[in-house]
Amino acid sequence: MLDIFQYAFMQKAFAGGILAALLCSTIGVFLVLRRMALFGDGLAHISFGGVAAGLLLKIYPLASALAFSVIAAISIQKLKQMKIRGDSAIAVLFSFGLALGVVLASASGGFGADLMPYLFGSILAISDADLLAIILIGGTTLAALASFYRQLLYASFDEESARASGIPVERLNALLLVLAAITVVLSMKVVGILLVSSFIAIPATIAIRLSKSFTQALAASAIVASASVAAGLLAAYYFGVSAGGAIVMALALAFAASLLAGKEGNP
Amino acid sequence: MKVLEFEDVSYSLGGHKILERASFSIRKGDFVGMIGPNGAGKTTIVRLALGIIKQDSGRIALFGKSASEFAEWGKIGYVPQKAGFDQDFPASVFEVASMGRSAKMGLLQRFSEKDRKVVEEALGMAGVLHLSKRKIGSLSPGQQQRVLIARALACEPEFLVLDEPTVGVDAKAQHEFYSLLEALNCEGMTILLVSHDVGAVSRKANKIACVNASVKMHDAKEGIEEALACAYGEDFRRIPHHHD
Repeated sequence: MLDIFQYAFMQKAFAGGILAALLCSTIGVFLVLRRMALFGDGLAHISFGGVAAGLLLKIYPLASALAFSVIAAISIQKLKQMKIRGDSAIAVLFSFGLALGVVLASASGGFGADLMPYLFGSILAISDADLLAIILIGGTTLAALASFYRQLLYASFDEESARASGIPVERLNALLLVLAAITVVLSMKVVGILLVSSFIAIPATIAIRLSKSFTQALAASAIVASASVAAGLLAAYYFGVSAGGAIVMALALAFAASLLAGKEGNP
Repeated sequence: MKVLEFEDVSYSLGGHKILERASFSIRKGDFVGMIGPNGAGKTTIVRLALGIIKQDSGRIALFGKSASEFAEWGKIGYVPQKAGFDQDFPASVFEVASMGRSAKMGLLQRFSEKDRKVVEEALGMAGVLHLSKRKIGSLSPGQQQRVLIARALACEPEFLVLDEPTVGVDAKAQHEFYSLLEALNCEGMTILLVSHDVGAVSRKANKIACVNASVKMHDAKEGIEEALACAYGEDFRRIPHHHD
C-alpha cells in the first residue's frame, strides 16, 4: 500500500490535503457553531471571481482570490452590523462573486480550462508554490486561532456575556471571518470551490454532534477531515476516481456513520 | 467606595423611554436586590452597567471610572438569565467555567496552573466540581445556573452582577444559591441581584433598588413595604404564607 508514497505528487497531495483539512475542520467548528456553515460556500464563490480576475490580470490566482475573499468577509461583517441578516449578506456577495467570475471569464475570450482546477480541485497537481502557501499562510492561520482560542470560544458560546467580560467581540468576529476567508482560498486548490463548504461544514457537524467538550470537538473534526483526505486520495490512486469528489464522498459516509453512532450530547 | 454609580441616566429603545434620569449608587460590600415589574428597565440597567449598551444621556461610573473608560472587567462577574446559549454546544462544565477566566487573562496569555486552580475552586464553591467533565447541555437548569455562577466567580470578581439567575431553578437549588450569595457577600463581595423573588431579595439583600423607569433605593429591613409599593404600585397585595 505504501507504494502510493513513492510519487512526489502524492506526497504533496497528502501534505497539502491534510494541512487544508486541519485548517478547514478547525475554523469549521467555530463557523458551524455560529450557524454560519454556508459562509465557506459563499466565500468560495466570491473567490471564484477573484481567481477569474487573477487569470485575466495574469497574477497568481490564489493571491487575487485571497484579496477578494478577505474583502468579502469584512463586507459581510459590515453588512451584519448594518442589521442585514447574515445569510442575506452571504447570498448577495455569493451571487455577485459568481457573476463577476463568469463575466470576467467570458470577457477574456476564454480561460475556462484554467478555471476548472479551482472549481473542482486539483489535489493531485499541487505545485510547490501552492504547498508553500498552505504551509506558511495555513500555519499562521492555525497559530492565530490557537492564540485567540479561549476568547473565540467564549464569544461563540455566549456573545453577550463575553462582551460583558470586556472581550472585544466585534474585533474577534472580524478576525474569525478573515481567517475563514484565508482558509477557503487555501483549500480551494485542494477540493475545489464547489466542494469547499462541505470540507468546512461536514467534519465540524460530525464532531459537534458527538463531542462532550470543545477540545474534543476540535480534535474529532480534525481527525474526520484528515482521514477523509487520506481515504479520498487512496480511492483516487487505486480506483482512478476524482480525488476531490472522493474526499467529499468519504466525508458524507462519515456523516452517515455518525448518525448511526449514537445519541448526541451523551453526558 | 462606589462600585457602581448611575447619574441621571436615560435610555430609550424604538422611541419608547425605558429609563428616565435614573440615579443610584452601589457601595463596596452592598448586597442590592433589584426588583420591579416586567419591562421596568432592570435588565437594561444591567446591560448599561456592563457596557453592553450605551445610555442616551447621563453618567455611569464603575469603581470610580466612567464606564466608557473602564477597562478592568476582571473585577466584575456576570451571571445572565439562563438558556442564553445553545444547549447542543460541545463545551464541558470546566470549559464553560474557564471562560470566566478570559476576562482576567490577556488576549495572548496562556492558561496557567494557577488559572486551573482558580476555576476548580469556583466550581467547588458553586457545588459543581464533580460535574467538571460533563457536557454543559446535559445538566439540569439548576446545575447549569451553578456553572454560570462558577464562571462568574472564576474571574475572582469584586462585584457580582446577577440577572434573574434563579428562573427555572427548583426551590432547593434556589435556597442553596441564595445562601452562597450571602456567604460571598459576607466575605466582602459586592452583589447586585436582579430578581422577581421579592421574598428572597428582602431576606438576603441589605438594600432594595426599585425600578420603574427610574430607580429608588430602600433599606431592605425597614423599607420593604415602601419598596414594593414603589415598584409595583399601591394596589399590590402580599399573600403571607410559608413552606415547610
